[in-house]
Amino acid sequence: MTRYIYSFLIVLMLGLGCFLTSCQDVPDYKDTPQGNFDALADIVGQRYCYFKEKGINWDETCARYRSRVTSDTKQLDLFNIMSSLLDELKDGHVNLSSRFSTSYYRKWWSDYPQNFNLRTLQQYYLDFDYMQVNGMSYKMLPDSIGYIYIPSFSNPISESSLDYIFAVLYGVEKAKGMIIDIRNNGGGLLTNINTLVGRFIDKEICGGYIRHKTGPDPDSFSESYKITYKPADSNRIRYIGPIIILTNRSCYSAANNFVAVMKSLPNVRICGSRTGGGGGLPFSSELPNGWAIRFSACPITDSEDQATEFGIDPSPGYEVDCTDEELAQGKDAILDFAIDVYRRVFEEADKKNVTYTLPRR
Amino acid sequence: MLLWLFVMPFALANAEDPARPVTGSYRLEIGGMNARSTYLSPLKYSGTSVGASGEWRKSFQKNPENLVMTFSGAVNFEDMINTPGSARMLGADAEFNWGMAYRTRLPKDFQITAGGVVDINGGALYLTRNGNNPVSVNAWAGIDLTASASWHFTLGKLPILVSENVKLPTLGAFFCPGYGETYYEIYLGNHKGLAHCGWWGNHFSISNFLCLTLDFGRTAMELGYRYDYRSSSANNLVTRTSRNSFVIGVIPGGIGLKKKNNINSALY
Repeated sequence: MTRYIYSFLIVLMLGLGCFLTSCQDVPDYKDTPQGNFDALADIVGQRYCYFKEKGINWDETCARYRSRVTSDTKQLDLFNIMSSLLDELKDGHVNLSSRFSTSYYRKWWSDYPQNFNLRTLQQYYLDFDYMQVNGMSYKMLPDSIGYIYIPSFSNPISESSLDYIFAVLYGVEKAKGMIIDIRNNGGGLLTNINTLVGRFIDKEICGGYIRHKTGPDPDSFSESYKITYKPADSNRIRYIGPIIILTNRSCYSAANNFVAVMKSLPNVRICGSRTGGGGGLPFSSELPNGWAIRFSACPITDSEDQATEFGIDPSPGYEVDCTDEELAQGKDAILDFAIDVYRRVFEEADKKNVTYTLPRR
Repeated sequence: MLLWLFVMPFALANAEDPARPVTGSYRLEIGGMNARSTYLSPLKYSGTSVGASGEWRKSFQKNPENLVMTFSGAVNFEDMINTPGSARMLGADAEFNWGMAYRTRLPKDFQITAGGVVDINGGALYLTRNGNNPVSVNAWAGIDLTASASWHFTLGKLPILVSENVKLPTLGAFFCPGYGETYYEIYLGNHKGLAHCGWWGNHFSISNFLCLTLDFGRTAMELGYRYDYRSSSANNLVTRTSRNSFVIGVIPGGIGLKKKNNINSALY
């Protein structure tokens, strides 16, 4: 009798388990031109996070492009159709990667003035004579202004590198102000923002909020989660003085996020032109033919929970552009503007014998 | 601990009672693996799996005729590619089980057991091409139901034990990130909705181990086949893995069928 009970229980367990497992829905797309297109449309449609902000009707958009896909569509043509579809998102975080190409929406920066020339900076302002560590260049400019150029956040910024930079500029050379130039910084690791911001604050701050999709429905989002930034450890060198951050349209993603966080600090001014945006943390997925797709999935907002996807404006009164002609002649109007602000602030403070602060306009 | 496990098979608890040796099995497992995690990709990945496992069984002191105690552990590593061959997925997992089973010895050298184990397992699937969602973490802590059937016979002069073991995770808790949640957000401290109560409806797994144990006296050899299926469904995400492995193992000291010692084995 016992053995019959055991047998019955085992069969019951297996049967019920198999039944319940079969209820779990896993999408299965065919590796055909239409199957791949449908997979792309569904993945982006269910996971992309900025349809509402950008006023995009994704179903209608997909329907327009799907009519161009047939079972005879060649790989290259399919890639181009899909790339054009993805360009409708106007998002630099969206890429389709095949073995022969990676699609990339460029208009977020190509339609705007560059406002930066690395050669001009290195030749006319740094005299090809500057220190470099961990990918960052730094130098004491005339009038005791510490200058740091951070071209990318792709590699981790080490705490010790920052200590050395700060020690040289503010311990040895006694800089009175700081310019952080992140023009052309296309982003990278968000953890670098925590490392950097921690050097400029003396108490915990709210630097923004993050949300994520909770389901395939276009409006399914989690509650906003506060992103807090903590001061660097007490054994690290911190700088709480005035800071001017130089930006251009090519500041994107993590660089855009850095600007959004720093802009909330009272001693910081953003100088130059509006950043490129890229406020959505990208997610990756795949199509049946093996192509990879990347897209914005988790919106990150600023400290007032406002979208950063469309870029961060300079501080009022700090909007500056430079023409290509000026840059070619060795004049960087954005950097000149920042240096000039410091000069006037230092003069004013010296006259009145008070602590200098950056003006708001 | 290891010394104890080796020494115990030869130790006698009481001179009058049959000895209750710990039967320790040490196994290597090689086979194939399929995995699909919709957090990472809708595509199925297939490849090879290698692992090592150990299992220690003993008749329980309080009721050695009917209770069997088991401890087991395993580690596995997987290397897979997707169907189009365009990306690679690596996997690793480990599990630890401790449990008891009620045993019924049947006529003609049959034995069946039914019981439960405390199961703690965890692992990850790593899709090397993904950026902010590169890893699908799988973790389970809970109670599994177990059942087994075994029969021993002699082929020529060689005692052989055939056994079939089934393990079915039943109630517990498992980990699953939000549908579009990155590990960066979890790193920031948002741990809401990561742990889920698990039952067959959202976390169905089954492990099936068919084993042939050849008892040579001083040692025994195990040849077996293991099928391991795991699935979970939460936050609109589905993860499924299935592993087929050929198993070869060794039991130092044998299982006592050849020596015909007066022992109360957990295996038969």
